[in-house]
Amino acid sequence: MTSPGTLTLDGSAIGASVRLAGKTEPASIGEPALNVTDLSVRRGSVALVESTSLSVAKGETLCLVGESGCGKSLTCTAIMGLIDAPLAAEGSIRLLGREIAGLPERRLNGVRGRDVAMIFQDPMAALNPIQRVGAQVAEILAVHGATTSAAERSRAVLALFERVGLPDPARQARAYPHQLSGGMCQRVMIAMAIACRPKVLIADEPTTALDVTIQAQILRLLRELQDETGMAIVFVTHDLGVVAEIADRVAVMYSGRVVEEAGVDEIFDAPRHPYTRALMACRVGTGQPGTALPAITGIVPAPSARPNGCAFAPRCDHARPLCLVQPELTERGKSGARVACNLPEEAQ
Amino acid sequence: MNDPILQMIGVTRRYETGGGFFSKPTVTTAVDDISLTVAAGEVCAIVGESGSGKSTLARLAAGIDSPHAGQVLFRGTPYAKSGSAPWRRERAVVQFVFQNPSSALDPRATIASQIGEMLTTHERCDAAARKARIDEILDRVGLSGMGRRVPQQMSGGQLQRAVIARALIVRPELLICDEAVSALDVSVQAQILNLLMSLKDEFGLTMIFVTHDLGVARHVGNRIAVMQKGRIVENRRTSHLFDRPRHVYTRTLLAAIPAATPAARRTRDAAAAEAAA
Repeated sequence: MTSPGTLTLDGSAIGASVRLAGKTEPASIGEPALNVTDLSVRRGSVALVESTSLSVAKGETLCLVGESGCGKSLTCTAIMGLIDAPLAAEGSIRLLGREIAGLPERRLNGVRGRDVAMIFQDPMAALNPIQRVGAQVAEILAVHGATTSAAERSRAVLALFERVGLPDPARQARAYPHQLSGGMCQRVMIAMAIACRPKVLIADEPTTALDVTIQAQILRLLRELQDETGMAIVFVTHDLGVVAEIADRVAVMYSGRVVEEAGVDEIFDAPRHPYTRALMACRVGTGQPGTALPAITGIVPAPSARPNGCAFAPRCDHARPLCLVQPELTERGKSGARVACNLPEEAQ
Repeated sequence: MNDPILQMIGVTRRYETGGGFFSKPTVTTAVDDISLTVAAGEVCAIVGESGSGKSTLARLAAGIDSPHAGQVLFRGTPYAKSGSAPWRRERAVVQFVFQNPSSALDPRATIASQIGEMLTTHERCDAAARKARIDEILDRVGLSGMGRRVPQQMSGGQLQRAVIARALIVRPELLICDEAVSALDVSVQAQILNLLMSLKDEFGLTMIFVTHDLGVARHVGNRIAVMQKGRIVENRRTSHLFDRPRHVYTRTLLAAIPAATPAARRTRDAAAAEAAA
């Protein structure tokens, strides 16, 4: 277990009243809760994620958007310190101002689940199939010493289950994952993730496997929890509708790199990178029904077969010779938006 | 309305689930007394949440599953008994595209041989004509020169193109797509939807398009049937359904669609807050 210091949580007194006690900390956007600098994940000499930098402020939701294989999930896995051989991660990951990259496993275990927690895409696969879900959530509380007795833990679990909207918490706590629906399992995962009131929540496509009505409920729940606790959320999705629902800021990834990062309104109203613009254009439901959608030709290159320079250039309508040089993520305009594109600003 | 190509009349399909050595299985009615008519040349989208019975309905419509009650008529006659000669012919005129192309294809056989197998099964044609037909359809779906690849060497979008080529090489009349674009990335999804729409016109296809994505249904469907718990609760022209949904469940579904933009979300939330106050 790590020493407390800056990591002490107000949530240590989680106890029986996991009402998440109103707005204990006002969601003050500013101080970064999570700061990732120059993160790379490699398999041998192939970079799967390359020099990615992200930061999320307290109370803020950053959406990580991109198509499959662009490195969204790997970035999350790396933040959680879950990268294993044959993959290797490098770069700096600062959680609440403290470096956690390269911490030994034993000390990371004190951080994971307590200061930073993760919700996975497939809750059925992430839960232990042969343990009752209530016990799985209680285990988190026991491991992080948030409660003192088993009775207190089970009260806390029930309160958590109630908070995430599981009907009849006492009965659900005794259920095994296979007895619950996908949406219910995802609520259990969320209860587990927020059990120790993490400062940073990583949500990797938490609603992708769910029906649209359940998705709407889960998104609402995450927003409410964020308002109550002021946690920072990194939300991975490929669905731009979900982005519109939950994001404050958006980082668009393509082929292992962030190509654009900006406020959510700017991403929707004035996307700058050609890839972001193309993604916005090919959403169904925006155009006239039955007409051809403006699809992006070609496919995302494999990490081992990336072209020189800008990885999007072969699919880009505006590519020019200067795109053979790798573009840097640079600030554009006054709003602090960052774009990695070699084209001059007026051509974007 | 054109002639009906497919009519389902009072169709019911039940499944037994669970049940072990000591316990009785529970009977689930996946499709419950459904009637649905699909006219030639139209695209009928079927939407619903998981477990609503839409895939079962698609399988019944294709004749690869048979109902416990009711009738499925293709061009006015019931599907023939499986294994018989007319049944073989029907297999060609109704084709199916599944959600997951990598499990719908043989991982060890080349794409060309899997597409060609359809011709062997359904038509007599010599080697030269066969090769020409395969090349033609590969060209048409955007896989020129990729016939010798095996599935592992192709992306998800390319695999779905191969599945579509395999379905269309026997020139079917009815194409049933069960979540055909759900597993694809948005940019690839747009490519495949565009391909399906242009092939529909070119081949004069009638389509049943099963999807959980209302955006996709709105884009492709002339008509949308909304399913809930094994029943069709609303079945109307797409524009009518979106503009004036009648059934409460349709309204719930439409309300759950994520906002198109952050601005639209704020407008909606503000309206909801006002309504609640």
